[in-house]
Amino acid sequence: MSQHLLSVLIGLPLLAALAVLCVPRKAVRALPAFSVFAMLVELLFSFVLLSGDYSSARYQFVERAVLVEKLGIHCALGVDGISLWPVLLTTALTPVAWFASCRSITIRIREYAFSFLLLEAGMLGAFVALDLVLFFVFWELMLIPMALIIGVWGGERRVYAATKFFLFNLVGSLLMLAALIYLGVQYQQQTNAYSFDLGKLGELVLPLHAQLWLFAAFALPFAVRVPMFPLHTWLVDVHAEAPTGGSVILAAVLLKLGCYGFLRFAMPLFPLACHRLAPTLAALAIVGIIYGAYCAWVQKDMRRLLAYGSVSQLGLVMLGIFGLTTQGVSGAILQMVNHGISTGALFVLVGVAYERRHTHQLSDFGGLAKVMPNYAVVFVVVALSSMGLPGTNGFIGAFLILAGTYLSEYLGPLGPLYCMLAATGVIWAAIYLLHAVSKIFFGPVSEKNRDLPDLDRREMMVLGPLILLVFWIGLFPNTFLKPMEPSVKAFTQNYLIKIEAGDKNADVRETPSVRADAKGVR
Amino acid sequence: MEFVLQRALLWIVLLPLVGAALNGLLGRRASRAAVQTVAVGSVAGAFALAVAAFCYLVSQRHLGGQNAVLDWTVYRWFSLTVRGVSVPIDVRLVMDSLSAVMALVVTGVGLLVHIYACGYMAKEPSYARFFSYMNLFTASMLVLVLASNFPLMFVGWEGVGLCSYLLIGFWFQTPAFALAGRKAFVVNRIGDFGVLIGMLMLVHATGSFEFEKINHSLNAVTTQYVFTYGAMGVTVATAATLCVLLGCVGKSAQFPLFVWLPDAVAAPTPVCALIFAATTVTSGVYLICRLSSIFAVAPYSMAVVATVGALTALTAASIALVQVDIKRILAYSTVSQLGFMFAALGCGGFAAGFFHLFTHVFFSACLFLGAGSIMHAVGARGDADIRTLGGLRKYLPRTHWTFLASCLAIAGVPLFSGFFSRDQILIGALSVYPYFWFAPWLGSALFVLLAAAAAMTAFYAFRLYFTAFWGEYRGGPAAARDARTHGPRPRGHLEEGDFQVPHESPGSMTWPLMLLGVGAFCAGYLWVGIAHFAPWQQWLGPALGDIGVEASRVAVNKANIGGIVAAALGIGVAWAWYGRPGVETPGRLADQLSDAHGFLRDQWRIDQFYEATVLRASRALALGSAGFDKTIVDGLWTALPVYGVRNLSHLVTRLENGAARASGAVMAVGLMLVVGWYLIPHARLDAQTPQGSVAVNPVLLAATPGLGYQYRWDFDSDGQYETDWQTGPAIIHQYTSERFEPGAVVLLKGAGYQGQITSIKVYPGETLDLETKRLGRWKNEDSRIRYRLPELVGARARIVADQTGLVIRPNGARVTKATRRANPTEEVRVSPGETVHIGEAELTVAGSVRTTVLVKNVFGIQAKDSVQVTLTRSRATAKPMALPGGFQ
Repeated sequence: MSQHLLSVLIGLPLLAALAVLCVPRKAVRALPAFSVFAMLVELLFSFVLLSGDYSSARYQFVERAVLVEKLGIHCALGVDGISLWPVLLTTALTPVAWFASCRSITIRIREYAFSFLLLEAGMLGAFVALDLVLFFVFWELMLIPMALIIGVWGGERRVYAATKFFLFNLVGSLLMLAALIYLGVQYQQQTNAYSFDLGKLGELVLPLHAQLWLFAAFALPFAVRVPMFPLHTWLVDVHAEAPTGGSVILAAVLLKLGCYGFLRFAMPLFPLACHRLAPTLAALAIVGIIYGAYCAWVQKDMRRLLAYGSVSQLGLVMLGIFGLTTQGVSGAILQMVNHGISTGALFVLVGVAYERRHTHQLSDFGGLAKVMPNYAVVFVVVALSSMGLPGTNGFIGAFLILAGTYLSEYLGPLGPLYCMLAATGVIWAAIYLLHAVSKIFFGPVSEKNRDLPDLDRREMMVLGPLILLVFWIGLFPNTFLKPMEPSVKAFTQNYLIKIEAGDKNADVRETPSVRADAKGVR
Repeated sequence: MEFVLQRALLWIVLLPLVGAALNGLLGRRASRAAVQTVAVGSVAGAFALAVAAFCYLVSQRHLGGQNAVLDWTVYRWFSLTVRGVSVPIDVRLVMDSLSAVMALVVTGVGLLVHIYACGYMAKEPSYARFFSYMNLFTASMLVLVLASNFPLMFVGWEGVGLCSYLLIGFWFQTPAFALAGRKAFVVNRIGDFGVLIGMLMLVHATGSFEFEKINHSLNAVTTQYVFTYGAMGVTVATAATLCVLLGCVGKSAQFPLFVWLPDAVAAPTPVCALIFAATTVTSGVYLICRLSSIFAVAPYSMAVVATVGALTALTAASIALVQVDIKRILAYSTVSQLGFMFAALGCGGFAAGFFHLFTHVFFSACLFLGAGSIMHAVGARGDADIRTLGGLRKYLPRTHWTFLASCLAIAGVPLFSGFFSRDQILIGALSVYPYFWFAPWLGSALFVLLAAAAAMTAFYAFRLYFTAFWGEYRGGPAAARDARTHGPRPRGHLEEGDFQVPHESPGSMTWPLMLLGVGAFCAGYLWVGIAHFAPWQQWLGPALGDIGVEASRVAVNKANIGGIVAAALGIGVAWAWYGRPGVETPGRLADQLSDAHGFLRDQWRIDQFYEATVLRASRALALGSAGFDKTIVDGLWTALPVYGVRNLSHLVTRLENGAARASGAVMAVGLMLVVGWYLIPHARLDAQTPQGSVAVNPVLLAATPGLGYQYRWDFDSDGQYETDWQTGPAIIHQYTSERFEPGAVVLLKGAGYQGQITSIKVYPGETLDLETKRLGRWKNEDSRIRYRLPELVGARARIVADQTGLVIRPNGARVTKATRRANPTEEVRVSPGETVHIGEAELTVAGSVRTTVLVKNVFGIQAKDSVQVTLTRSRATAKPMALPGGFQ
């Protein structure tokens, strides 16, 4: 079983999705329960991943099967410290998203369940694929169900949002496809055999200018997905229109695939190019942090506010990745999980408010702390974790990233500067989140909100585990940091070795003092 | 014993935390008595444990342990890697002499406030929520105090900010109160930003987060620079302390970030006592004391601390002169007293500043609780206008006496606690001048500011006292509503009009008051001590930093006299204007100086200033960003492509109509370009050397890859290709010397830092003179700064190039080739690949060669590119390179 664990993990939601399609019309009422059941079984299976040996950087639960021999396409799957927590995040948050939203879905519930399960399979596959073609297949596989979820079950402008989501993500991934084929052909030219294996392609030696183009082609879809400034505008519209479940999955998991793509593919494959562009990309990440927060502050729609908040927080994640220190990257991975938990929970909470009041406008609320005290407590706790209050999960991630950026030898003197700019994020986050909190919960209660019911048992069941995780990660982060450490170390070291090899001949910097000597003489 | 007490450290923190959790989760369904028991009991337990731990430390000190501490590492939180070394961050609690005093203050005053609140908040519906916050507040403060390292302290630091937010906005249904809470949190966060950066600077320099180690790494923080420009530089000590100071300024409500504190009087009165006396605001002072050794070696930061403190003391005291709401006056008095503490710290009087904190806890808490008692008596809610009070000494005897004791203490009347602590501050200002060597006048200036602030303090304290307690009762808040129009008031603890005649508060409120009043009177004697036993200095001395200045007798006398005169003046004027009935001077003065009066009444218009500048700008920026995002950024990805596609379709339509030959031409050109792009191969050669100049043999040459491309190499660009057509775009080539171009290249390995290389070309027939210059200063591993000079001072070695290499004429410089030193007049010949030293500088003669690649695509069309390669080692001295990735 454990040899095929990863195929089981990908196959189970696929099978469930097929089963959902076969459910007769009469039994549709049982669908939510059935899907939850499938997702929980999936979650239980995914816990087996924790039994792997993460004391080294080696991939665990590796599976390899030939798919197309002539082209060297394999079904290569594996998990290491970098992908472990994103995978678990996926399996944990999918049932949460489903559970939080299925009550409000009234039409085409069968298709909704099908899309959800397909999406889960796609996300898991993308996180564990070690073959570039396979990864691409899963990457594209996610697009369709997600676009459907937005376009069919979304809000008023759902078709616009779905199209936007699809086009933004498609254009990027087409470039990635081109670059991927180029890489395979290049590998064939150098070794006379095709391969798309991540490890093998990593050994290719490519000149800098080729790396730059290839890196750009890979980075674009990933940057769109993260989303990094200025490619983030799709996210805002999509969040504003998607149904609750779609929003939760999108914020909690789908965006993380962008960050993960950088870590797993774009950076190890093209280190020289990334090395050259990292200061610029880090600067963009910082612009994202500040700009996102500023835009969030003046939004009137809760979901738009959270979407811009996501842009801001994921900017921090990207900064950690580009700082390229062990703690920065660990912090970034942890922050991916944290953002998944906190923003996921916030979207669930927004959905809860929507179910009661059928509005997302901040101005329609006020004084809810009086009417729905439990809801207020949960919301405030999650918001605090989102702004990185010490003792909650957000602090650990943000602190590691900021420390990593400050201490990054590789960003050099820019490190402290970047760190300071990014650290202003703690102020901006407090401003926009507390703004939302005070609009929703404080002030007098209006007539329409007077009789809103507090969180019911079902909603507490969904949110309770998330709150526990918030504090668990905040107080005992080593549970999460320890397994990822060897892989992250190997990642940074390999990267630095490749850069140094590229720089070996190029360690030629001009010494102004000596040059001045020579010039003075001529 | 020690074992048990070590664990007790954790319970000191955990008890209030458990209390908070119990009350928060179950309190809504529990009875008031249960809530009360849990809340007061947990803090009482923490207090008892703190007392026990303190007694243990005292006994250890008596047994001779100078640095007796209780220390317990609970578990490893997480860790960082700093400069390749793993730096652990533990949940580790330490109680040393400093944190012991602080823990006693927090739990002790916390306990009194909790007891008081049981009476004060008796009719509050959200009783459990209130006590849950209060317990959380106490717990956060205890974490802050007992943490052994920066990140753990930061947990308490932000926790305190959070609890201030929750408690100030406790009556959240009034939007103004919720706003005040948010303001407190955001301003505190600005400070937290500073602490975060300061912490990272310190860990980068010292490699530790533990306060103990940081305080012992003075060498590291004073010799490393955060920023250098020429000979100027900012040491880590200065930069980090300034960053930390930003945090302390935010948290301890110093100028110019004190704006949050006066609004915080929106909190229920017991909370005010806790925030303004015992907890939040003291944490900034505490943190500076914690890092006192680092602050002591950063005189510029200390000057800033002292100046900020003195300015705050004066500003806040001047505002308090004209305020009319009792809690607002007290809030500004707190700010002003904190300014005194900062001034003391900045003048190097860490013990004195901390002592003022200690005495201030008593009189300030007593004043706030007294104000609460007054408001309870007259049925006021939120705040009370002192002009509606009066004559209360008849009705509230206990409150009156404790209030008077505190006023005497805050005014600095001799024999009261405030006198002793403020005296030390003034002495410190007068003796600090040798330490501020860059501004010797600063100490005297501080003294003048502080003395003026002291006089104002005495005045506003007794203005409050006389107005509230003397004369006749003026009718209470009912009269206030006639005098002023109020905004919506919160639902307070009392219903309006419950009392016609003011009455004394219940025992749960007066007993804490009396205890604090006694403290306000006698806390000062800890400094004075009895017969050569000065407990305060002896107890805290070892824990605090020292700037090494001694107070002279003249300074002591000056300060004594200055302090007493200031107090007498303030109290005298207050009595003359407010102590007797029917004096109209203050009203007349206010009319005559209406501008100044208004300026002070509006609190120096600092809030308005922020509103007009920072807030308005950020709001505009935020609105601008959002608009920019919606139109420009989004438009870039949506509107623009749509526009393009639409026009393209126009084009297509036109073509279909056969109407636009021009368009056809455009299409044709485009098509030709595309075809051309595929027809002509793209040659671009890269020698894996970004500068294209220097390489170590062998060299990896890489040309542009392309589908179906073939490559042919001519390594020396003589027109004859050395290889046949091959498919791989990259090749590793070993150059040998025959192929070098005429013309040598000198590579100078500078003698400076890290031996960086530069290259200068010298062509045949050219000469190059090497002159001596400093190579600038640089640091080696032990961080001492050294200057390294090439040893050719005064000499000019001349380098001449000819067809085969270089000739060096030493002209007196030390020239060494292959460990043999050349005669001063000897000519040294250096061939390509050889190395020679001139002084400390290393010269290698390199070979230079131009390499060409010919690229052919599937159509047989060819293109060329070439690159200049220069080799530091021309002969095959290096090991052959491993062929990467299976190059052919």
